[in-house]
Amino acid sequence: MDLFAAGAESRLLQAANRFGDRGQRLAAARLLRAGTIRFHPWPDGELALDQLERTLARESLHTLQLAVESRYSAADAARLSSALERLGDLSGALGWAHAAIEEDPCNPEGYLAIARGYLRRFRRDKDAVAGLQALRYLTKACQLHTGHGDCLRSLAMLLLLLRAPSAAAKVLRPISRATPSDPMVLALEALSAEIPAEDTSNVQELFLRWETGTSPIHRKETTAVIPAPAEFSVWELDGSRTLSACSACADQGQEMIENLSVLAGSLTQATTRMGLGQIARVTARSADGVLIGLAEAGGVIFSHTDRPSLESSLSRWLESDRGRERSR
Amino acid sequence: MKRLLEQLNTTPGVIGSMVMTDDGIPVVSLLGTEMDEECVAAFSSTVQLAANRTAAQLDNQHPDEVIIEADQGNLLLIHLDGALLAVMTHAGLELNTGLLEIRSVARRLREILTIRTP
Repeated sequence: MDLFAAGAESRLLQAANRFGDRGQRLAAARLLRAGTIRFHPWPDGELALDQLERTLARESLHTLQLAVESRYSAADAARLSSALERLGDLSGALGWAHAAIEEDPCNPEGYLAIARGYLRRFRRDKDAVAGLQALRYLTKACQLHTGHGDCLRSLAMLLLLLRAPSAAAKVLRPISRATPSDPMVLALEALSAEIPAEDTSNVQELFLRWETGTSPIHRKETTAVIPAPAEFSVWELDGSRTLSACSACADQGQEMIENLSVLAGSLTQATTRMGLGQIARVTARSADGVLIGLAEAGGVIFSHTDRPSLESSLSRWLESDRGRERSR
Repeated sequence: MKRLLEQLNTTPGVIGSMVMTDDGIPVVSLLGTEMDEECVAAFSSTVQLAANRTAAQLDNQHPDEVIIEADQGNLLLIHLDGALLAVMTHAGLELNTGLLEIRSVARRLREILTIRTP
């Protein structure tokens, strides 16, 4: 019987309960975790998982505290952190996770403990900051121990929440080969049949799509031309991060446009969320070039020169009306 | 590192500063009570990553500094070889003057990081 088929929520819940009744509560938790991703949002599943994880954490707390006191290790500190996080002691959890990282910065468990907390917040509260932080800590943990099952499952979980089945499949590949009946693999397979494969490998783009609910559609045939001096490349993106105009010599490749689109979206999102208000301007300087972006009428106009000495001219040109002249 | 950030925060117009790893994990933070460290770290590294990708395609290298000006404040991101210095300032700050002090602190932070990661 397929527990991950559409409409199988109650069957999956019953199966998890049966595991629980037989004392296989870790298996039950793993099944419910996969179910909450497969059927997201699934309040009954979230509630059952929450209760089960809290019970497991409560029961293991004393043993974990003894372990930390008797033979302190990064793994013990990380396990204690996870248990405290499940029981709602967030500052205690963070303290032990940081202690685990300090004890052994190359052990993924401390990063994973922090990531799990953020991932839960992302899933429960749809909190973008938590999602971004979960991604950072999971990436770190995966880098430190490639092939770590829990790291891979959590990262795949995050990617599935972002509706990126292709990326999740790549992450889960080592697990799906070794254990094809792993609940997270089954959830992924079921979701892949329903969610179309994403058309980007840029995880920041996935986050922007998740947050705004829209994705930019760039079409060369509708892109206007901005007359600009030969030493400047110019791109204009509208409020939906879609390229609306560019100069003749500007790179119009898909990757370039996606990078600018993600930069525009990230800037808008970041200044608002950090309490800095609306983005006005961005300047990125490297030894071999300057990129300036100006926010205007809901969109952003970017301009680049590979001659840093021309930064002032670029800025003046961009701020003048010439930066907004177009010919269609 | 903390002492350098304390010194940086005395620069007129600077509200707070933090050092994080390249992947957005906070190392030292002196942001003040009104700012959310998690949020600043998450979005600073997101913007830096987006700017890095764009600049890598345009210039074949990552930007040394990214200055974001918004209507209620500015965010300056300075690359520190494996780490990132984020500085928040009031809106309308004369960026050229403040930037000299920030670059000077960044240089010293880079030296500390070089010593610690031989």
